[in-house]
Amino acid sequence: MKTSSYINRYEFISLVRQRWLQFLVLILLVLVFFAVFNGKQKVDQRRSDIQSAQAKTNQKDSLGVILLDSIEAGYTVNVPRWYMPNQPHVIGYSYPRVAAMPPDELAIIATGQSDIYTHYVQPNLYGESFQLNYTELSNPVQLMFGSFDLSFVLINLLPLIVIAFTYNILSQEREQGILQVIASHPVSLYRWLLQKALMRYLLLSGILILLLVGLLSMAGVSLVADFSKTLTFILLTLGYLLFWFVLACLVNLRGHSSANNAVWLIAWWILLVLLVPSSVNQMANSLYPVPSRARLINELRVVNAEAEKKADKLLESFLRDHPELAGHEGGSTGWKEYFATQDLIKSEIQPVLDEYEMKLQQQQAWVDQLRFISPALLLQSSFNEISGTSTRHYEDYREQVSDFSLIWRDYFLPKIFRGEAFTKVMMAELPEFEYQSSTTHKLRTANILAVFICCSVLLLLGVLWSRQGKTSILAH
Amino acid sequence: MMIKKIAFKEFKENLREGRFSVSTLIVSLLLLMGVWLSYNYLISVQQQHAEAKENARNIWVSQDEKNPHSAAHYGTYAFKPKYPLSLIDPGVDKYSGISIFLEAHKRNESQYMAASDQTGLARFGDLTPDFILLFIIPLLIILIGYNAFTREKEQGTLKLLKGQGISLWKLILGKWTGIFLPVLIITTILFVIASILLMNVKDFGELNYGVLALLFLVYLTYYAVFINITLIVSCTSKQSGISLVSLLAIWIVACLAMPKASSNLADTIYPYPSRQAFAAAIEKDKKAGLDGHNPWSQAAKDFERETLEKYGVDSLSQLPFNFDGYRMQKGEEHEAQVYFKHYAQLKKTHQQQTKVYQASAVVSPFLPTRFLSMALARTDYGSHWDFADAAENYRLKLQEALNMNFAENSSYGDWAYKADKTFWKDIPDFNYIPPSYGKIFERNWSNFAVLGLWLLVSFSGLKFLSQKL
Repeated sequence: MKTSSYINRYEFISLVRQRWLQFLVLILLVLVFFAVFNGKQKVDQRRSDIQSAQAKTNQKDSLGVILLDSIEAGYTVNVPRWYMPNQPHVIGYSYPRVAAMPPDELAIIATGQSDIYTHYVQPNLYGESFQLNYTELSNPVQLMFGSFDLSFVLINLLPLIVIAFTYNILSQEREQGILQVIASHPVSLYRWLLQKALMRYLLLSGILILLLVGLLSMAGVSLVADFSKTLTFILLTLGYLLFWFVLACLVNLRGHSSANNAVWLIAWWILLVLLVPSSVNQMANSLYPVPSRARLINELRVVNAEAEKKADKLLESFLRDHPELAGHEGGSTGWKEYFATQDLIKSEIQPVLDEYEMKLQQQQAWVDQLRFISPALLLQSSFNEISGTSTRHYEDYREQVSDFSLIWRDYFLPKIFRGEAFTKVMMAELPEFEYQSSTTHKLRTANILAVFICCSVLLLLGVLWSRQGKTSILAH
Repeated sequence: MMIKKIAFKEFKENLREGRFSVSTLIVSLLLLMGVWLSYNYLISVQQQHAEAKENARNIWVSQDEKNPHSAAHYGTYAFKPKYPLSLIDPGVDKYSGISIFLEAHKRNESQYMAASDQTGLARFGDLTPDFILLFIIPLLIILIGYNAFTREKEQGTLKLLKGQGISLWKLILGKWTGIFLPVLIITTILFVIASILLMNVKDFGELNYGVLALLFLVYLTYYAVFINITLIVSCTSKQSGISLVSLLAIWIVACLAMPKASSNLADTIYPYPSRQAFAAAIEKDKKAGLDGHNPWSQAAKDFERETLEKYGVDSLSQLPFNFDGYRMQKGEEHEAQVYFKHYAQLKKTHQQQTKVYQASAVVSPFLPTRFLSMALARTDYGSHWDFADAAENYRLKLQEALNMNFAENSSYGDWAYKADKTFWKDIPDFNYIPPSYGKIFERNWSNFAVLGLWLLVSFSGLKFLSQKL
């Protein structure tokens, strides 16, 4: 007991004297600060975009209410005929709701797919939700380089800091001849190494967690709002850190020189962080290629033209499907034709579009299965999940908007067909969109488990290895 | 002579070392795989595009007789062509969409970026040749050269060499060549394979060998800079391990962190508007002027009065053309101006962002290389703008032809007018001719300059060290 505390004290003092500790604090502070700053900026931008859209909608709504008020009171209003808000189709088209996807509490952590997609759309009565453009206007160079976010710092840079911190944890002692001295003391070499590594691990994790918690709180992120997510985030980070520490110790145990250790560790980093993810992505694309979008464009046009031709004949069958709309003629046949055509186009296009979604989902499923082959993959998918910025979230959002646009349409159609007037009271009862962010808890637990299992397996391997050749670490 | 000997010794020594052969083998395999995947992808995409382009034209030509303005709303598509060198560097193609819908009253953004049809993993990057050329070969250089001097120091051979009175500059040059040689071989093989593959592809348009050679030179310059940096660090470090870790830190900053940081910086200083805000600003300006579909607005009334005065007639039906078609065209011209104004602003933001990237290039040799490589392969954002602008010009001409056909061949109020089936064929197809390389060089002179500067400064640094060592 006495010896171990002595080792710890010696290790701590030497880290301080070599300025390692100061360096670690400084570099982590700079990296985490910059990443949090960038993440916060993107999240704030997203929030303010949505807010200003919502404000504009509210403003327009209140103007609409004033107009409706005047119309209902029998005054003439100075608005063109085709813009009178007492016609339901005018409201359905010109007074759309904001279907927004506000950022999750921890969105700051990973930019994920949030720079590709837009965060609010305003589906209206005409056109179909599948025609809505969900991509954000952005400089493609930025999309290519990606964002300097926490996820980048933790997944890509943190392992390199660990490598720089530990590549010579044992080899240096041997190179400086200290190992021989230790060996002559009544202390187990393995225990000594373990303690040294543990000390460094705890130091690094302590600094990192303090910085993360401190800076995220300063950025206005509530870490207790969804504590299980915060906990997942921290546990995953700690597990990932542990993985690289264990790997570094294993490489050190091989008993080669410091430079050789560094080369090996870097090779592992390149493999796990750079090559495996891009290979998995490449394979996902090759195995489940999304059909050509170029072909889709023309296919859509042909179907569109066909559907328009069929529209007249279709009208009857449309009324058969919607008996509630029949028998209220009154100059509204044009509408029926229009929506009948839309329904037809949708029913013909849907299978084609479903194929795209399906391929993408297959890719995702495949990637999800393979996430265990590299902790970097696992962390990335988990961080995107925690941040609510994964591909799945955006898919989910599109689906919710699509459902909402149906609700929106269904609200107006009967009114339009029956020739009902839109009233002030109805303005307050318009359907509203609320995005429901869903999370898969199962996946998160599995991910945390996986990281720790990874580490334990590595540890076990290390123990077995060291049993095999007890003298190897002393050898040069 | 001396330099040659040292270079040869270095090369041989590397060959005997497992680390070198294993990493070279892996890099070569990755490159071959990258080229193969990239080639297959390119061929299939090229085929799809050619097919789609033809189909789009067919659909346009085979329209029934209809009102020209209906045809204008029906519209057509412009497909972005692929260029041969995108085999080596697909650049931002994945993020910039494949086609633009050309319709009446609206300038559309290009749609269907490939990245949105992939999982989130796509953001890690693809296994394409440019990934290996830009990221992995510099790492290979570091792996080969980090201990070029530290090893001599650790084994005490540097003192021996000095004792023999060797010129340190020659020693450095020898080592430099020893590292450069394998890199040169790998890069050359890649470029030769790429050009052989490209030679055998028919429908790609001309492969410009001069540009291919220039691209090759750009990469070699990039590697020369990395070799200089590697040797400088190896010269100044006391131990191999420290040298390796420092070089790795430099690589990370230059190739991974700086691009991301500069992208955040560019976005912070010169942010892009959100899609909706951009569209709303355009809509607002559009409403302030003439709308071809709205004869009741103040702008339309003014325009009506002016036209009547100009032609000295009392009513619109007395005009020698159909006023509906004419108003439609004038409306289109107003809208075109609005789009021009807003896209000019967007383009300005893009150019300001580009300046931020170019300024960051001073900190990272990766950045100028990255941009030059894309520009030469015609897969950079500038090339995308060229295409989008050309498509917009075509759209305006198309609208003009359709509106004028309507105006000249029908009388006022005659919305039932239908243009003949043969008319669709008379409108020429959209054939995009990209700007000359001269324009690309002009746009990228600062990248050339910065990369040249990197080479110069790093070489001078090495020379300076050779006197100090």
